[in-house]
Amino acid sequence: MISRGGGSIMRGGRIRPPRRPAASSNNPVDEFEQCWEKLKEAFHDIHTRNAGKLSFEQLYRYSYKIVLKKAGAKLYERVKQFEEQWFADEIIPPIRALITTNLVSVTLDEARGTSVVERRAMGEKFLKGVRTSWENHNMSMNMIADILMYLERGYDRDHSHPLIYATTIGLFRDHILRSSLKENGSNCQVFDILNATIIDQINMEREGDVIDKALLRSCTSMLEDLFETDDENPQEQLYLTTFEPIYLESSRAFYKTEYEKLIREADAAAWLRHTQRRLAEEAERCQTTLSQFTLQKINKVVEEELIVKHVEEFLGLEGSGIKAMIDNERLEDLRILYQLLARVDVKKNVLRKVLSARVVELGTEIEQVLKGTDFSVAQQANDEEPVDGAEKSKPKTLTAAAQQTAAAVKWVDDVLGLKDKFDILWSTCFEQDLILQTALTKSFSDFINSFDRSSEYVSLFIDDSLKRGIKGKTEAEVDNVLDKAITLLRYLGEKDKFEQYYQKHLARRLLHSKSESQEVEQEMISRMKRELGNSFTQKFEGMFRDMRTSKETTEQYRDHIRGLGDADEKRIELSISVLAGNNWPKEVMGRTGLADGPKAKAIYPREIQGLQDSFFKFYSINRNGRILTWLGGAGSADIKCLFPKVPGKTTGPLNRDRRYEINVATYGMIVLMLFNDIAEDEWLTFEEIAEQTNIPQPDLINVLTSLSVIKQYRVLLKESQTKSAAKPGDRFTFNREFVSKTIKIKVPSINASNRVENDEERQETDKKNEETRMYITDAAIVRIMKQRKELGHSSLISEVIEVLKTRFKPDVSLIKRRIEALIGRDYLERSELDDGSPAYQYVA
Amino acid sequence: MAPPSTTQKAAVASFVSITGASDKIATRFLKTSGYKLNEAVDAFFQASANTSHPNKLVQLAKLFDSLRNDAEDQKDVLGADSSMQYLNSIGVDLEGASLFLAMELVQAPTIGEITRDGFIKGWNTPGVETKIESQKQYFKRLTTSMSTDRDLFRKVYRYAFVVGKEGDQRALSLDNAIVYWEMLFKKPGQAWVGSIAGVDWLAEWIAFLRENWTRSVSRDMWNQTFEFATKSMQDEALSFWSEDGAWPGVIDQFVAWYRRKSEMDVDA
Repeated sequence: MISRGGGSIMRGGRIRPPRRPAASSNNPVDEFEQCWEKLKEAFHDIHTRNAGKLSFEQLYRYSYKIVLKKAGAKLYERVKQFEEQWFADEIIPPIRALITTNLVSVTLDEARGTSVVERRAMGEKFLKGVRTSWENHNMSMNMIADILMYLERGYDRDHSHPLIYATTIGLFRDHILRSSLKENGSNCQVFDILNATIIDQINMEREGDVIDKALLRSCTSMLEDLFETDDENPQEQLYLTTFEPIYLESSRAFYKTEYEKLIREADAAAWLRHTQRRLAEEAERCQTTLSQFTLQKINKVVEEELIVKHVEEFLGLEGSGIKAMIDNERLEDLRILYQLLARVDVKKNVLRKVLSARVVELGTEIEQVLKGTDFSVAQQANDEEPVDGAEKSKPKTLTAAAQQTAAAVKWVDDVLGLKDKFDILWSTCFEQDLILQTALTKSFSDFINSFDRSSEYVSLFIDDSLKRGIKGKTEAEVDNVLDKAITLLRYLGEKDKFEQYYQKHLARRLLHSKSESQEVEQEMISRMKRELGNSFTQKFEGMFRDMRTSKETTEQYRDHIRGLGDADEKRIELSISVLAGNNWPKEVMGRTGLADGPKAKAIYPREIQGLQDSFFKFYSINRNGRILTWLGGAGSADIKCLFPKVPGKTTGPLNRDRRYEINVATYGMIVLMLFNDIAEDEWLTFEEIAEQTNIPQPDLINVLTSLSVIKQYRVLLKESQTKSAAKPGDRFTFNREFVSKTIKIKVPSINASNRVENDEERQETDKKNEETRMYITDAAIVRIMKQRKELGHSSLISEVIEVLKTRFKPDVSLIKRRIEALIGRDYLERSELDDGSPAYQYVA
Repeated sequence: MAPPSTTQKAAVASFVSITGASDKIATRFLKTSGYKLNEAVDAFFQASANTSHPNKLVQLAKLFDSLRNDAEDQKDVLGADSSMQYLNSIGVDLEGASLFLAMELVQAPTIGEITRDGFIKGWNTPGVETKIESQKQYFKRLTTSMSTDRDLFRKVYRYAFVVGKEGDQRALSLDNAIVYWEMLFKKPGQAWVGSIAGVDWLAEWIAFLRENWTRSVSRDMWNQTFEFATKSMQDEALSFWSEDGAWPGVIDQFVAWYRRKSEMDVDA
């Protein structure tokens, strides 16, 4: 249903004129005064805490009336005046009374005549006074503002005045805090006193006193509620503009002194804990006593004064600095240190630097210790054999070599120990920080690579582990050893060098069956493969493959011989290793650079020659055109020896024939066979043996020495009968009186064990390595240029480095030299890029 | 048609001085090549070689024969003595850069040997009559232009390596190289001396090599030495050199050596 509009008016029938307000007839001024009078009384009551009987509605109406009469401005002024008056009469005097000369002098002039207790009491009293008057005022102002709500709504807004509340609150700031203290004889404001007192209280707390935190908190929150101007701009809280700067400054001064105290005590651990405590305290203080706004800033002050500016000084302290922390594994210290430094510097530069330095220092120390050890060994050796340095006593060098190997193992162990140590620090103290990990890795690899034997030592370590180290160990332990090896390998910069050594050592292990476990060997290889890629382990795998196929070949050959039905009693068992030339180290393959000229072939005994021919025939059945070279230096032989009964001896072992199975190096076998053909008491000279066997001299020396010097294996007698190595000019004969407790005798071959190289060998290895690098670099350059046709100089250099860096760190000068050489050989041509920068062109 | 600009005029002048042709011909060739002097000259020689009088070739062959000493020389080669005689007669300084200029001109296989082929091709130049005297004139002009014409000088310099090395060796011996450098890097060639402070680079270079270099001088080293020389004439502080540059190792070493040496000189 639709009602008709205006129906009610029509029904009412009349329109009343608006009623004039009753007051309109009165004099507006009088009415204002009346209302104001009421309000004033009420205000007075409010201030005197006597507001219980007041009627809010009544009072509100007064202010409402006044505003309606357009007298808002006047009311505004009156209220202000009233409050000012009130301050002057009622509030300021008691506060002034609290500001005793004593307080002023204590807080501002730092006169420390009074005791702490006294000072605290005095400060507290003052602060309490301020707080009380503030709270009263604030409460009063709230009430008054409520009463004058209409004024605020109707008048303040329109005339863009600050709110009455803000204004009246501001009065507190202007009349109390900013009131000058001229009459007290100092030219500062109450404000200064207030700030100073608060800070004084805080400093007391820092010194260990208990203070009234709530009191301070209410004072600071008062400052938070007050603003620079009545506009109440949040950026201009008095707390932020006035108190905080002073507070921060005084804190800075405080911590400066604190630092001086700490450095005098010179204890980094104490410094760490102290700083940590201070930071926690400051954080708590901001929660309970001051304002959260300050937290960041005060933290920064403490961090700067106690950490950033002096961290190096503290870390450098003897006895408690970073060195002591690391050396004595003061984990707690380091943990705190990390936390402190992490908060001041995301990149942890300082920590990174000291850690790296320490790692390198300790690493170098390991090297130094090692050098010391080496030195003493060498010394010993020299003392015991003063003459002929060329012919070193073999047993002696053997032990020296063993010691050197031990040194290598020790080096590796030490390095790994160091690594473990820093790993622990890293995971327990440094929160597994990635930046620090990178830094540690880098410094490890730095010092490891600065040690020129590292590649060799790592390989020796693996060699040692695989030969003996893993005996009787559980799988997990073996795993651990492999892990260690890989860890070290990762650090090595010159991986090509390592490859060479590893190849050499592996060859020895395989050929002499020194390896403890095939499985572990394979595992090692596959780990290397995972770590360094396929190409790195290619040769090693080839070596294993050779060994496997050799085993098969041996079997097949045995079957083949059996198939011939040639049941020869004197048949010689052959176990052959067919080695592919590329995979095996040159030393083994008889192409050592030490010997000058092509190596003469050793002359094998007739029996053996027959065997060789027979095998070669067999081998060629399936593999036509291959050439076999017999490497006497790499194999070994089992010989059954008959030592006939010695006439005239009636007792003891010499009384009867003795049969021994002797395992000697292949060359040893050749030498021993010679003595089959000669009369019983005939002697052969070194030269005769050399001539008849054609064994290279160094090998012959080794073989003869091993057969004639050490008592347990003295199958041959040497004249002169000394303990030194066999040498040209010596004479040898069959040792008829040889006795051994065991039937099977393994004559250790000198030089067969992997050991640290001597200087000459090392030079040789280095030279070889240099050459290999040259070829590799050449190949890399040509490969790149072939693909690119034309390439700028710097791009070529960086691409080559990129390609080579997995193997070694090529230096630019090497690459440049190789480029020049390739230009000389017309592989490349100089050219220019469009921008005129130098470039090279591939010449097809 | 716009009157020729100054650069164009200069181009014409150099064209004339190189080829000995008339201004008119010079302008024609330069115009077709867009005033690129080198291209124009090449085009000119190409054209003239094609169109040149067969007569001239015969004359040149005759001249060649007249220079030959039947008793000593092979049919198509002037031996050492005849060559020297001839070179002297056209005014070649056997101790200076002009020797290599002449060698380059006739594409001699080695110093002191001139082939018939090279002789005829080299002298089949329009505007040069087949007479010793006019060859001498032309050669003199060429010699003077060597000190300003970098390309010509570079061609001569590079040829010095070819003609200077012995037989089928790939490199020059250091001693020979030094002799050649001394011949080339002085008038009428270009002196290897700093243009501002007058550093005697040639002396420094030779001193350095005598002190530190025991190997022979490869073609690359020879050619790069020229590049280095021309640059170091302009820039005595060697600021064009950089470790990361493509300079051969020997030049890197030289720079290091020179800098160390000058530092010591300052200290002393």
